[in-house]
Amino acid sequence: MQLDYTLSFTNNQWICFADTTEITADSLDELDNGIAKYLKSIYKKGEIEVNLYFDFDRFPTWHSQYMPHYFNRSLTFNLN
Amino acid sequence: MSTTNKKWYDGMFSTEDWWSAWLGLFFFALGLLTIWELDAVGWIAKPKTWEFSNLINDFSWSKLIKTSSKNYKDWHPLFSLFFTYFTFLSLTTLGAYFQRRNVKKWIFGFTVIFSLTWLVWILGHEAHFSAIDAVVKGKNSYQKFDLKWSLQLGGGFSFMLALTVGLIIGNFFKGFANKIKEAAKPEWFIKTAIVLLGIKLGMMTMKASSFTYELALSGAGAAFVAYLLFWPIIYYVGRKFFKLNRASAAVLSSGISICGVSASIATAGAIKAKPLIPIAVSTLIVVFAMFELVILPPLYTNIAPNQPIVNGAALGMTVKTDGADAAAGAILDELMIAKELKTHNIKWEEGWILSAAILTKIWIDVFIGIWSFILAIIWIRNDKKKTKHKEKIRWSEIWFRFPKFVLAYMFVWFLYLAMMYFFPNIISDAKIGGSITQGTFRKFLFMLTFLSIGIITDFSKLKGMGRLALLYALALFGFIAPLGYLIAYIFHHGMMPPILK
Repeated sequence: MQLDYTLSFTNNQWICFADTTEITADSLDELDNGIAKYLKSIYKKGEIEVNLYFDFDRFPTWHSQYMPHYFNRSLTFNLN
Repeated sequence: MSTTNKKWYDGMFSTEDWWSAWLGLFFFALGLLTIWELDAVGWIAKPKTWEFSNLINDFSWSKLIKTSSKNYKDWHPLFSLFFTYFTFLSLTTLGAYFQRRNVKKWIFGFTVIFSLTWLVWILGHEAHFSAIDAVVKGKNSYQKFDLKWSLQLGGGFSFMLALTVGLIIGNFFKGFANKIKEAAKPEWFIKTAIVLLGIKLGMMTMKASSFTYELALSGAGAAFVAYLLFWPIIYYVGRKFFKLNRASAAVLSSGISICGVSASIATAGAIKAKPLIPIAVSTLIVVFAMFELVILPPLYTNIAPNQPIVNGAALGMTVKTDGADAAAGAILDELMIAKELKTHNIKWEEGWILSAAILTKIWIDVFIGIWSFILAIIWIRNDKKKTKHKEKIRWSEIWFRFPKFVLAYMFVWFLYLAMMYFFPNIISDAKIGGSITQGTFRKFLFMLTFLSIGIITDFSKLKGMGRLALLYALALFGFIAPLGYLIAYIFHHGMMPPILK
């Protein structure tokens, strides 16, 4: 199973927009744990690939002329 | 609403990078129409060398401005200027709309920037600033105007004046700068100009193919060596002596040693640093790029007047951001050609020194995606994870970080090569339009870049940067600049631009 979520960064916190839920954390490790917990609560078991796409609108607009991409992540969670 | 890169074509109509490619290719295609005897580019206005008292005694717009080709010689100079404004405004506004910029602000900002650019460009062509006492293309402007003195700076004076005016606005009229900032996009303008420079490279290849290939390959070699030397040393100094954390040291190393803002964002993304780090480092880079742009071209011109290509390549490795590098390369090109003409009465062909600066930078830009990819793998492997999931790095990350305007630049270059090999009989017609697009169009885009780069540079932003600013200054002038020059010398020494007869 594959899911596409948007990743953002505001007020010194990472935010994952997962479906209709917002998962926030101070670090990416904590965010990943939050995503794992969320997935477990919804899907119970199985292997899920989550693609996190960083929202570049979080950067000041003048940055996009230099580099319009930050990063995307591809994570695999085993819920079993 | 969010801006994410999911599919390979994302951003194709919404980023400055892609729009540089589209705009550059559009102008290139217009220029090619001369193959079918259709001049679709000769309307663009260009400034003429003029002299103050001569103009005052008998004022005429035609002494200041002319069209770029004789096919439009019946146009009034002001109509040509207005048509130039209207065309550039329409095309860039279209791009601004797709980039989700504020179109109203764009139109106002671009109109002001266009007007100031032209004012400065005309002023910069006053003979006492630009005329050189030597015969060029059968003319000696110095003697024609019967001058007693001249700074003899050639086209370089216009560039420096535009930069000065931009800096004054950006630092002393900040309210006004904020009103026009929406349209101050030096990277967009310069990347479009670099695409057009592909035509020049194509023409250069026709004239001296082995030299051009050698220039391109030595640029790649120099950039590669610079990566391997600059980055680890700056990272080590940052960690060991400035006690920076891993992420800050890595982002700063890329920013100082590779290609400025784009490298710092790419590296921060690769190692998944908080965006606050590249945003802070970017501000530092933009301000320091201005120092490099102002100091290095006259310095290299005076300390090594007989090493034009080495000087150009050294700029490519030292000056951060594409805009500042190309701008510095353009000033160096003008200053060195003017100096050689003045001292030895030898006229080097223009564009070669600039191309040396840009080719080196382009290789650096191309490598950044690969470098970030490698860093991302190293970072993930060395990260002590507190989670159980697996993470993989997708190859698409290289693509998303790849500068797309480089594709257009290469396309234009290779298309010229293909024409040379497969359709040699159409080359002379293609060159008629190509000369205008890579000449007047490109120089006008450079002028827009100089003014815009000044407008967005606010020196007061250095306040509070303390440790980072100190490391940046030390690394740049104490290490990157001299070592960059040495590497440029090793790879480029002995190369000289062709001499115009």
